Amino acid sequence: MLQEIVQSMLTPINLIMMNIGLAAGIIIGALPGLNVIFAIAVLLPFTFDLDSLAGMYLLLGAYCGATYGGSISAILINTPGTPSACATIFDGYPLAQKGRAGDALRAALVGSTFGGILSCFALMFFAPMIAKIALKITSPEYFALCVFGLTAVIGLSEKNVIKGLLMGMFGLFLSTVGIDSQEGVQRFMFGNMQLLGGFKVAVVMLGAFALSEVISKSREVYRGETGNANIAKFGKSTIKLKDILKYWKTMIKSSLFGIIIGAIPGTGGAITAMFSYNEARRSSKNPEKFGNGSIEGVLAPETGNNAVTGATLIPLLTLGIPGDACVAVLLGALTMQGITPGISLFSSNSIWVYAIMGGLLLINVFMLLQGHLFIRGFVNIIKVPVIIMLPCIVVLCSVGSFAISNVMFDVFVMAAFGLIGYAAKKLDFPIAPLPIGLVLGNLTETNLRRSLMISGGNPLIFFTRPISAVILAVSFISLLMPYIRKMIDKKKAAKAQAQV
Amino acid sequence: MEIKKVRQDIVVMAFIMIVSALFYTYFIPSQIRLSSAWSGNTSFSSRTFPYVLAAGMFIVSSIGFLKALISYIKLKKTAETVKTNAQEKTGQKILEKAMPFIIYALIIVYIILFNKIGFILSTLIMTPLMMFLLRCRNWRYYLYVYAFEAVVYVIFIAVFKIPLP
Repeated sequence: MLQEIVQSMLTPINLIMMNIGLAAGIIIGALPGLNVIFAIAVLLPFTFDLDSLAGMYLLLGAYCGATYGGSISAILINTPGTPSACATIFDGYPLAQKGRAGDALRAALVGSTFGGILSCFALMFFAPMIAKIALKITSPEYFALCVFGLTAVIGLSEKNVIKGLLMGMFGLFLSTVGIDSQEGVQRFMFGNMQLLGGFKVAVVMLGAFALSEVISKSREVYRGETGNANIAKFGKSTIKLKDILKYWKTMIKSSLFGIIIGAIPGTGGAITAMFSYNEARRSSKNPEKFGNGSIEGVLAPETGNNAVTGATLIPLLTLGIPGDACVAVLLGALTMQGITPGISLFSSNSIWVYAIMGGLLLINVFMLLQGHLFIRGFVNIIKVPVIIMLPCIVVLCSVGSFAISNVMFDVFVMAAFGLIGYAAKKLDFPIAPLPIGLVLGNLTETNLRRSLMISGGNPLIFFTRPISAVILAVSFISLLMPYIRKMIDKKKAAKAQAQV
Repeated sequence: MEIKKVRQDIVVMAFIMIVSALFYTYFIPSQIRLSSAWSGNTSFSSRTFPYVLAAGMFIVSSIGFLKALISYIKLKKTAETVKTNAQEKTGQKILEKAMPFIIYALIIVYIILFNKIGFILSTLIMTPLMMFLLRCRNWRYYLYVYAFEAVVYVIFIAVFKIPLP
């Protein structure tokens, strides 16, 4: 079996796709304002005609690359390229100002690779175990898990729960368009036969994430804001590997945070990075150096945020539930390739699953190589004016959405979702719950239907079964998280004021 | 600024309430015709899940509406009575505000042309127009974009064998 896995992994096209995905991911991640989801969404059209493994490697490369790439602009221009790099600026930029940008970038690279590799091992170890447990899960528990997948994203990552909920429900609603697979009935097709198969996830993603970015960036570009005015000078790295690895404890701790937090739906790299940074500062022998240019301060968040990449695949591969919007795009790509992630994948297509895990490991190794060899080139990417990118993205989105089924209707749908995505941004509606709702819709409805069939239409079935009741309770609590956090902050502030 | 945002929220939430109510009462029954041949469980039909979602959206948007309304009343009470002069709107400012919509309109035109006159011609027209509108005056940038588009074309046509219009 091992031989088969290695053989399927190490084909020339797979290796090329891993590296293309990585390079594109690093470039997109390095550009301020373009995030990991954008990187995956833009590369999505290129996977349609690829073999499922090669396509996934391309997207996984982009996922890992963009997560690391965010650190480049964080270090050089004090602007995180992606939200995951939000904590990297605290020490990365001060290091760059001291002429040690090269050292900071190398620390970020080593940390990212270390976190990514450890996360892969976690995926290899835990995913088969969870898949075995998942075999015992029945419809009510599955439904509860779907609800949790959605509410966790809304509650843990977004401040406005009401808007997040509405966006998630909108995504679920969109998933009902087309032919109902159970009864064969048409739903919300308004006489349009193009909607027979429903909305294509890839088309929605391209519109909501990529095209909407063009629309919103156009105003900034017109105003002449490119945001890359103060680029710190790129000084060659002088730091030795052993000087980085002496912080091995911080790296292991941050990786563990990344793995644990990443496996929980709705969390992601930004939370992990902040958490890892704070913990590294708290436990450091030299906490006063944090914020003034500490290598450890760069290592901790970068190790943590890349340690999320493998962990987020655990719920995806074992249960078919995406933990965040990036993984929702990956799920969309898989569905288009005819692969349904979940419990059965481990028994029916185990070689494919392990090839994905092995490929992720290899991607992290390639990331170290690319980062080491081409860092100067990636740094220059920050200088690329946004105005060049906008028409390129429009063309890519249009051609990409057309290429899915060779119909113009998809291009118009993509454009419509571009406007919806733009409006959502303007009105402070989070976009992340939309794709998660869309990809979870079918699974949620199917399991809701099955559960109600088992219970004869009694919805209490979800509360009388202990596991589903607990998951639903956790889902409810996660929705209340922003309010709980607000209350805790208020109490803390009141306490601090009383002390003064 | 805050009061403007809250007012915006009131309108958006009211809109979602109306749309979800419309879906519940009109679109779901008219757009989902139940199959008479369906012999499954009657407690759950093709309409059930959309009904649950429409009702859920109505309830959540009603809560959002009330929340925004309360915030609006509170903000109105505390807001300064002195009205500041409205910012002078120059032509430049108006154009800046309208730019996302102008670009969006251009994208729609591009998609229509994409279908009518094909990828190459429509892209050749759209690219410089968009860049010019966004005040790009560096001719080299135009060339870079064309080079990228040529690469995209080659990849999709020659590598993926996708017949673009």
